[in-house]
Amino acid sequence: MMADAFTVLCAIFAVVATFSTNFKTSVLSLWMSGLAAGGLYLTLGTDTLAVIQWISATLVAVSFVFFSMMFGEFSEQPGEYKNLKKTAKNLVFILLGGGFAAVVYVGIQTGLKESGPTIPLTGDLSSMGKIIADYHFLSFEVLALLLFLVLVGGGVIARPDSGGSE
Amino acid sequence: MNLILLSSLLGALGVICICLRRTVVGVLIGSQLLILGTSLSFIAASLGTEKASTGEIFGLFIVFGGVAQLVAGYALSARVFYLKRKIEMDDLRSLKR
Repeated sequence: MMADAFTVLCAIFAVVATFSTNFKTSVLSLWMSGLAAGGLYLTLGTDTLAVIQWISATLVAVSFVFFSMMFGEFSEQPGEYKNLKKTAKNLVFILLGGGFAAVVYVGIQTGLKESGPTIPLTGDLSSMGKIIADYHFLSFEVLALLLFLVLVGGGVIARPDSGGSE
Repeated sequence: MNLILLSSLLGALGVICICLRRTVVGVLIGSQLLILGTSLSFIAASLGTEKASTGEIFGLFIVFGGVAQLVAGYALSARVFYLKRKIEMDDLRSLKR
């Protein structure tokens, strides 16, 4: 029951975040969609992932507000979807999205037919840490390296030019 | 079943948002939706299997990878904003002045 409610909320807010031309509504809807997804994780038993999802959704929403204000996009964007009205070629993109959904749906359904017995998730922090340390340590190290590179590379890319004409 | 439908819907909305938005932050919103759907699809796919916790770990990795992607997108956007004082997605062809 709760899972269904979170599923419906997540879907509704995702649709609003996608198609709203008002940026404040989009960011707020994305945040609510992330929170609903976190609630969905919680009902599934993945407590740690739920908390991480809530923190991540909140920080992402705050960063969207900050950067959109910096770029001057934090307002109504009347021309955001003007191409959608102007030409029918963007129908291809919508079909692409529908195709993506179909591939995910059919692929997971096919995979589930070959699955074994149902085993409940054990989403507490200690078991996740043990699984990461035992089976996914290389992936964890690669992720840590990726985050470090993004931290350094982001600072390098976004630096202002010192020798420019200004 | 509902989880798979939701994950595919989120992925589809993310792809549509990335393709149709004209602002940088709008495209990043689409990428966040796509990442949310992908993370959910891993969890949904592994929910009834013997390796349920593997999907959860992959979901965790995808969330962190999404944060890294967002930071990279912000850095590129800030670079373009410094160079051109505006960000138009249609004009994003070069990072040179």
